[in-house]
Amino acid sequence: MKQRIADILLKVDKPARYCGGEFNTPEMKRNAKLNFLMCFPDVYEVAHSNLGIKILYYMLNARLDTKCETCYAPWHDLAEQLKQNSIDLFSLETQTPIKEFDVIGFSMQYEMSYTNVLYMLELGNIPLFRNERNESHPIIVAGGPCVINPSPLVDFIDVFSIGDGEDAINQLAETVVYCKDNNFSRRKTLEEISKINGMYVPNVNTTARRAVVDNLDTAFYPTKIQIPNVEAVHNRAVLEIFRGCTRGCRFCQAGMIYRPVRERKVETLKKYAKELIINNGFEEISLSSLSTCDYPNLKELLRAIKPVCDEYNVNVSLPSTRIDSFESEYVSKARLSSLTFAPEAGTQRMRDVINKNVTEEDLFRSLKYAFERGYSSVKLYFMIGLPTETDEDIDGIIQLAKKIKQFYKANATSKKPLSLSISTSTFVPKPFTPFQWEAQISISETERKQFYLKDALRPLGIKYSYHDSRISRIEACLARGDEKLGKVIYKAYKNGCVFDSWNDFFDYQKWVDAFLSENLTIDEYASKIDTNKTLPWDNIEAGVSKEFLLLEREKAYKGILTDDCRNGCRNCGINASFKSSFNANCKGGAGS
Amino acid sequence: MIVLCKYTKLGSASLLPHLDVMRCIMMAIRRSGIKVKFSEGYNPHMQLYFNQPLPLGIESQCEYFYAITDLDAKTFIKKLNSQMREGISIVKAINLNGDPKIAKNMRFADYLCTMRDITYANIVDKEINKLLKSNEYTVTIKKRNDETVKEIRNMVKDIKKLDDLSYCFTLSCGNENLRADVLINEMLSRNNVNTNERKFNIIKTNTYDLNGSNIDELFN
Repeated sequence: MKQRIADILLKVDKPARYCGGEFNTPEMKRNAKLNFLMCFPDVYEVAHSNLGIKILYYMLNARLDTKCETCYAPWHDLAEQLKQNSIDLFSLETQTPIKEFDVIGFSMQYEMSYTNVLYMLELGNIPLFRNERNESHPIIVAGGPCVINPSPLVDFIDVFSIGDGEDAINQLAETVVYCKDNNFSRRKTLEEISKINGMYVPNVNTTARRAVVDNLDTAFYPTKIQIPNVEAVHNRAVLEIFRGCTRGCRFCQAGMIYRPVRERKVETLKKYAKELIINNGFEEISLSSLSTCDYPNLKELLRAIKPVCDEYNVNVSLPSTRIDSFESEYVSKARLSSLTFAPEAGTQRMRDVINKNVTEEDLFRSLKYAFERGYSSVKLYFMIGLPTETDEDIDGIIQLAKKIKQFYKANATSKKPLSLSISTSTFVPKPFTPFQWEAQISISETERKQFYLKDALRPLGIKYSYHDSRISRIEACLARGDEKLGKVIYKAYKNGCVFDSWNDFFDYQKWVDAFLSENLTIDEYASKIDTNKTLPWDNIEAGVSKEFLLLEREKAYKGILTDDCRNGCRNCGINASFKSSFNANCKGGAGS
Repeated sequence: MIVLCKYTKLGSASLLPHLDVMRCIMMAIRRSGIKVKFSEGYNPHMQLYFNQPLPLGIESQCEYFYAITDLDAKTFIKKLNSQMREGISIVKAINLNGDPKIAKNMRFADYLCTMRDITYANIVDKEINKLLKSNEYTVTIKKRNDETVKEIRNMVKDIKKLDDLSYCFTLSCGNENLRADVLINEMLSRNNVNTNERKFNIIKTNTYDLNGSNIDELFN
């Protein structure tokens, strides 16, 4: 490690975040033609829990002409030290200043990390605004779910990689190497990049189509993963069993923008699972997807990986377990304690509105199974502020909690008292969902509902937690924001907003001031949008058609369900606009 | 049976906190496929026993842990070293029948301290003379919002000058612990040197029990 950097690391908290040397780090090529930096605009422990950047990091390093390093948002103390000592933000693997890379990619997983992109660029001594960068600066690329609406970030980002990164980023690497070999200018390089499927280059192309990997089974997947120096938030091996979701919950952006569902074959997954266990040494492997229990061969997969899990003392976790598909028999036996479900809404009416195709009966069936096997702790996630919600729906949450308490008494085999936790988040309307035109409820209304729940649940001995309504408010603005928000994000950053997703650092007033300074208001961005109005993300072709979204919206108001598209095509638009992917993956497609 | 291991913590690994070093070794054992004993009960975990934590930023050639296993020490070293991150590697291992109680028995350690500049070495020379001649010497220990003054003369067993810039400090370690970096910073700050910037490098090189026997004798 460079002595100067080693010395400043001694002055900061958790220096192991920044010192590199992680086990399973690929060899860093000395004479790579392309030097790529993969950034995550949050701290090390959060970044190391993200699968997307790991896939791309190992994929790029597997290229003979490319070296890919990493850099994550430094904590405030290191930022201070970097400034005081005039040291530019550096990569973790070789401590190279980030401005010396050819391409810097940011993974945008949540809107509240936008200011951290500016924070990292500024610490790296790279101009924040796209139009201030010249031939000497890296090309700044942003990918991840947030950039499905690139508008709020167009002032800062040179290239948006929309959709799946496996093919698109590979082609980007190919293109940049070609452009460097031919001494192309920055402008010419950006023009070449804009020709790649999934790439949106502001000022070069005006529209873009989401990149979709048709066959996930043959897509690159790394099974040797960097072992973080300090424990990551999700300290486990992750196996992505499929991408996309067929359920069609109307609030869920991921369920819409990752369509169609693309599954890996069970044989491929068995191989990857074994490699992940043997190569990394985690205590736990997570079979990850948006709705893991929908994987048709889940039992076969669990059965197949059990011997290797037992041999290496590895537990299996199944995230996103739906209450109608609880498979506890295969989940870790070691911690028969906590079970998490997300009914999302308290009444059947509300669950029908959001197309959460589960009933109270489903929930209690799963709970009976769990309680009889010794589970004594249940966590439930709900959303408040959903379209058409009334106080009756909020009461539904309380009634459900009461019923669960009684049900536990009647069915529990554990001697422990029931630990019931309820958590609510505020509905945030997101682009490319049937609820994209809906308003978010006001902060005061959110707080009224939160306090109502708090007052009712806590006397019952139920733990209740809720998201900061003001963070959800800004999230709603940024998620559906237009290009005018670039200046707001810049002002907020200059006002001191960084790490906005961290409750301790989020400062709502600074955001209010930033909006006001641009003569904009938060309320106008969080309010209802006319369905005839052009949306800031209309230039992006995500796959789901506006007609489908409008139809789903109408059905929501009537409380009509749309069935899971594993049972037949619902004509969401993928069948028309992404035919090859549809044919290969969907029921009704040629491959089904 | 147990396998007692002596391992290094060098280079960037010196910035890893103790709990993460433990996690790092546990994961390496898991990767290596070595079978070691797990605790029984509700939440089984790998049974590994370590000596006291090393302060962040201090390198070491002599850290210890043991695992309960039937594997012979030679195979243990070979399998495990292929799975270690840079800076952490096992340099010695031996099969023993009982608990060597390293953490309990460890009383002193040698620290090889190298000053980065002769000016600072001269200051340290002067302070070492004062310290060795006196029966008292205090250091100020700073923690976030707290400062305490501690008498440490009895915790300094020996100091040898090795060359113009280097010294071997033999200091108490274990339950009664004196950090080499704290002592040198004290010597410098008594002479108005700003110790915000690091002026030296330190490597822990040997550890001893109460009788002055090197812990390494366990490996003979």
